[in-house]
Amino acid sequence: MSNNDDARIGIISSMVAPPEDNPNAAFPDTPQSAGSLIMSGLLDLHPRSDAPFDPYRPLFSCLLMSHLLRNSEHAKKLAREITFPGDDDDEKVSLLQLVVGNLLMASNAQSESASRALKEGRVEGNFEEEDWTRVMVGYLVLLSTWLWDSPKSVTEFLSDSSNLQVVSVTGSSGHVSR
Amino acid sequence: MQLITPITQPTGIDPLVQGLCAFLLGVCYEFNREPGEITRATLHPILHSRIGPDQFVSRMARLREDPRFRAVQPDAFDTESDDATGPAQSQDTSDQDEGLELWFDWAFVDFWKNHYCKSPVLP
Repeated sequence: MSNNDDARIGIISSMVAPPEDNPNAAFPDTPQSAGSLIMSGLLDLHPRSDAPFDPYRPLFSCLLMSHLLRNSEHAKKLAREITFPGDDDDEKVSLLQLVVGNLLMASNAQSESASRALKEGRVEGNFEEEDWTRVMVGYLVLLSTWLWDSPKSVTEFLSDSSNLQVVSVTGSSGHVSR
Repeated sequence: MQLITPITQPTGIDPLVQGLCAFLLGVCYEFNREPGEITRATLHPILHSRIGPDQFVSRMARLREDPRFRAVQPDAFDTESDDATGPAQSQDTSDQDEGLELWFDWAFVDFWKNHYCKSPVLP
């Protein structure tokens, strides 16, 4: 699916009218569900070695997820409650945290790609840079939509001061070092 | 022969990213309404040092005027259209016309246009 533009458009247009009154349907973790497809597209920035990186996958996932969250505090609340196992057994990572983490990763990947291009003397357009820009745009769209008119989501976002730093620095210098 | 130090700074920040980051920060400020450690008073100097009010306004404007943003139409995902790259083709002939140049969907563009002017202009 990730290399088939028509299929992507078809799926998106069928999901353009999200079931806002039933956000639960979006988040089951049964395999192959729409929810889990969106989740994996959102979170997985490391492509399989046999497939080229497709920036549209995280972008579409972000746009779809934004659809599901837009103007629905209930959906945003459910999204805040999505967690994944962390590195430690007793530690859980929230979806929000993972999204910010991925934004940071994309920002760093983009900076590295730009540096590499400069080093190699590539003066023509760097497509890889644009790929990462696309990914970053997706996450920023998702975060803006999620936090809009949702004080509780803002509170959660701000509860980790590094989140604010990621966004501030990404927008000003584009290079985030931790 | 002079050794050229690799430049680690990127050549320039994409105005889409800049504008969206600024918007997101504005959202954090505007909707920071719960009692907690980070108050608007705390946020204010941080935002101000990162982005002054003039910069904030200009970044919103640059986002709005970016061809990738302007190109988005309400019928962007019309599958009945033969032209699958419909949403990609902006009116500017200078844009690439190959491939699916998707950046935003109409729902977000519409949402953003309705709300960005209400973002706080930091005094």
